Amino acid sequence: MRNLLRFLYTYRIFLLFLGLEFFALSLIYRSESYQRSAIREKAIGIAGGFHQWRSGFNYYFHLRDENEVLKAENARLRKQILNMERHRETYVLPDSAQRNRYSLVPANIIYNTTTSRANTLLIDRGRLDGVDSYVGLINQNGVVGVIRDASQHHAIGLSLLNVKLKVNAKLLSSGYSGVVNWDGVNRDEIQLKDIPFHVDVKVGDTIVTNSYSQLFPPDIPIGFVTEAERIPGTNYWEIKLEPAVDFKRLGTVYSVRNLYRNEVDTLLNNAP
Amino acid sequence: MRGAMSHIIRFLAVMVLQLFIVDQMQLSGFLRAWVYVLFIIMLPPNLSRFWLLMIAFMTGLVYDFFSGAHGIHTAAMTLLGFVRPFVLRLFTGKGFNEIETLSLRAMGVGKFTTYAAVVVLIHHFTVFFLESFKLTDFHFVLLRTIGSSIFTLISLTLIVLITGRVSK
Repeated sequence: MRNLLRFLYTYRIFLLFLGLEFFALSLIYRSESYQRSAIREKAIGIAGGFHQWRSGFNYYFHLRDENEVLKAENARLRKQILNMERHRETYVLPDSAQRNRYSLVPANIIYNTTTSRANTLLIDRGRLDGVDSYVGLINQNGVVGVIRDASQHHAIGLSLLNVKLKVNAKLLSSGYSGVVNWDGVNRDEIQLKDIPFHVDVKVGDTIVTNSYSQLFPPDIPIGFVTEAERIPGTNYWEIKLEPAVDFKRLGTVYSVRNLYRNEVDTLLNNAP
Repeated sequence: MRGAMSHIIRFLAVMVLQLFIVDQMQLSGFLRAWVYVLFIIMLPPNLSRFWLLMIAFMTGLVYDFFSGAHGIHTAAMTLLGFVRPFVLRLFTGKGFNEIETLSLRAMGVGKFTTYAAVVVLIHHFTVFFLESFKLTDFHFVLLRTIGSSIFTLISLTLIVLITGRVSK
């Protein structure tokens, strides 16, 4: 017994070190297998408040650029409305197509990393604004990321530049589906996997979200093919994409909530 | 007490610098600087190992909280808190734990820089390794460690030159 105590005493610093390391590693592990907790929600709230205050400085200097982007988008949407009105005179759309399927909430990015392997972002909207975990984030150019968890006024998400995020995608030209997943090396290059070799892939092809995904509306751009090679020994392409979104300059984003998500999930869960 | 105050001020200064400026310049995945390590580098050598470990742990926790890195920096800083006495002994000899403050002048520029470089390398390697956590990416981990450590050391040198002193 005394030997044991002496042992503990002699190595007390080392044992404390092991204890603290264990705690730190459990934090890393817990961030992987994720569960919502009250502490975590509080943490998002506090860190969110801090980053909102900090990004206030940056935000001010980018107002002019941000304004140009929004004006351009406005013009594009106005054009779409005009086209739609012209169509409405000729076609009577069936009821269900007019029902809203997605609700969009505009938000500002207040914290965003691009240099890590697991890049995260923080937005200034939370559950009170209808932003909840597992909603998609897009901007005027394409897919930005996915919200992972929300507090009342803030939400934290994984950017597309995060090795843990996989997004269902398809080739706009042929409709073949694959999975977009970043390999964590170069932030100007994301990877599209699972496209069979017989499919025609050309440099410059657009990759968009497909309709299987419950996170994003279909046909939102993800990236453009910059390189395509056959993976040696397999029948699949290795495709590199240039992201549609410039992750270094994110301002306004929209969180997209699929209003039918619960319905679809219930159906899928009850499927035999 | 005045000594403690200067460390608290340094802690706040490097955290603000890290979160407001360094973390905002996102140059590349291979060039990242974590200048907040300066706080651990400059802690007094006669600090007990227990407190060194606890302070390093808390520093990592605070940075993780604001940067959203989930424990990676906590793990790296705790390791630094544990190994710093050994690193310091390499460069200052046996009587190191009687020195109250570390200073560039007392240690000599060459020795001090090497000491800082070793601490930075250990920290950056741990961070990049935990971030990838795969042995297949090992060459990337090494490349990132080397590139970013050089970047951090250059930044630290600039900070030291601008503020004119590292400690009293």
